[in-house]
Amino acid sequence: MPMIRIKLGRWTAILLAAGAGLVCLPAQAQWGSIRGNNRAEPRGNSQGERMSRAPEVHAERGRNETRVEVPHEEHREVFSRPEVHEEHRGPSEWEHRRFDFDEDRRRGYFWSGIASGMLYNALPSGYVPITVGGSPYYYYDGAYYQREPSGYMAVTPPIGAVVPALPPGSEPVSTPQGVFYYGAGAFYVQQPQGFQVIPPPLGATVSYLPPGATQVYLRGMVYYQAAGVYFMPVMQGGVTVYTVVQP
Amino acid sequence: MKFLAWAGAVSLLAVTTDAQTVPRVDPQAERVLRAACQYLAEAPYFSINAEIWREHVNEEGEKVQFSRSMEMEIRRPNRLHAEIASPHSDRVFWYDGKSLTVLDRKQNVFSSVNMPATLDETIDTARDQFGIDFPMIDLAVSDPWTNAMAKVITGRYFGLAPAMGFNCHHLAFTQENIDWQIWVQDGPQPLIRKFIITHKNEPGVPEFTGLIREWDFNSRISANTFAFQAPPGAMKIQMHGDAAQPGEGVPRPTGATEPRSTR
Repeated sequence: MPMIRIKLGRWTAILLAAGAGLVCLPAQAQWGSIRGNNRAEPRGNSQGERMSRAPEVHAERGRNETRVEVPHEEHREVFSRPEVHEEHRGPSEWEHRRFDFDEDRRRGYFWSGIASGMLYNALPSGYVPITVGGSPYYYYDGAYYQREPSGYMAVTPPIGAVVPALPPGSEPVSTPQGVFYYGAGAFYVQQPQGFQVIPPPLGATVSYLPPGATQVYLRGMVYYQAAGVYFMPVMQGGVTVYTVVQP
Repeated sequence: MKFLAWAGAVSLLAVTTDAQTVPRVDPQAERVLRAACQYLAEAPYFSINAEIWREHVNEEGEKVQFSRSMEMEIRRPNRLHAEIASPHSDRVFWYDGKSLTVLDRKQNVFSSVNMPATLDETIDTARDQFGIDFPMIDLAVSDPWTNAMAKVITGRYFGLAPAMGFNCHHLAFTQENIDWQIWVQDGPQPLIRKFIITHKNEPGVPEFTGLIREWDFNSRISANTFAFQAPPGAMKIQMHGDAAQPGEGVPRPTGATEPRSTR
């Protein structure tokens, strides 16, 4: 039976190393003034505390790739979906401080230019075929595609899909239910074989909206809606961030 | 008994010396910085037009620099107006001696919170309670010299160098948490033209840079400048504290997002 090798992304490697205490995750505590830097960090915001609370990664350590058996003749689901075993660790302090340049930063990622409904002649080089609920999809760097008669259409990340690495620029998100990850407009939970797309967890706060989100007004409040999910804007750290809510 | 008293005195001296390390600052560096700080402190109001750069080091170790234009008006002791903008982001801050309002022009949303009666207290409250970073706010504090020197270990003078088209005195200071450099215009007006903070303990050693194009100490600043007026259609949103955890104040998850079993 043929084997394919799927290299884990640098993010995954860093998370693995962080879980093992090998690397420092970016603390991003820098302030734009002497005064700001000289103030004592608020509760739990010291770099050391962040690092000590960095979420563990439940994956085999000491390897930088994983093997997944895939039948050659058909693209069945590449990754198994074992039960979620994310450990609840309480509120995490690992989330980085909000910066207004987060908006600029995400524009440098491949997925930032991809919106659901866009049609392409060909898939990007290096795509990964996956199957979710019996339907074939193609994944590359945070973007999901489905085959159409006239090409490949970018689609909303399908719930249940498991991908080998988080999309570039993903951010950890702590909720009362545990630590998740948000990248390219989708939420992920860690699995032994990768990261699984999950429904947006209520209460999760993220630094940007999913591509294609539109502003809506409900009962005198402003929200953003994307694929049936509502995000409430709040000001945090002097920048607008977005919390998943049920209005 | 005398021995114990003597030993105690020596211990106290050692602790005091350790805790209050005397900064080693080149006299020329001190003279230039004092002059710049005094000039600022004596200004009842001023405005600047600047550019700020922030470096971000990503997971790959790649360092990328992001820039913003910045305009700031200050009237001591309790007025501030600042706009920090780029084609992707545009935020405006108003402090009128009672409250701080932040407007996100791109999303047309704003948020206001009560603040203390002075700019110094407001800067600290905004930073500590709401995680708000006012870039280059060291220019606006009531005592810029004490503020700048609070944690300095060493200070050096590197002579004259060009910065923003002006001949400037180049100074460099070290602290435990950061290093910073400053370029002060030579001549009768000791204006700060360039400012760099090196976050030497952060992965990738990112830097913050401020470049001040224009200073204005003469034009009177209208009181309206510091009074927030909501733009048409702007919606008010909540301001979360910096220590607040995501999820506070929102409904408890249900269905597929129920808490998972723990191992």
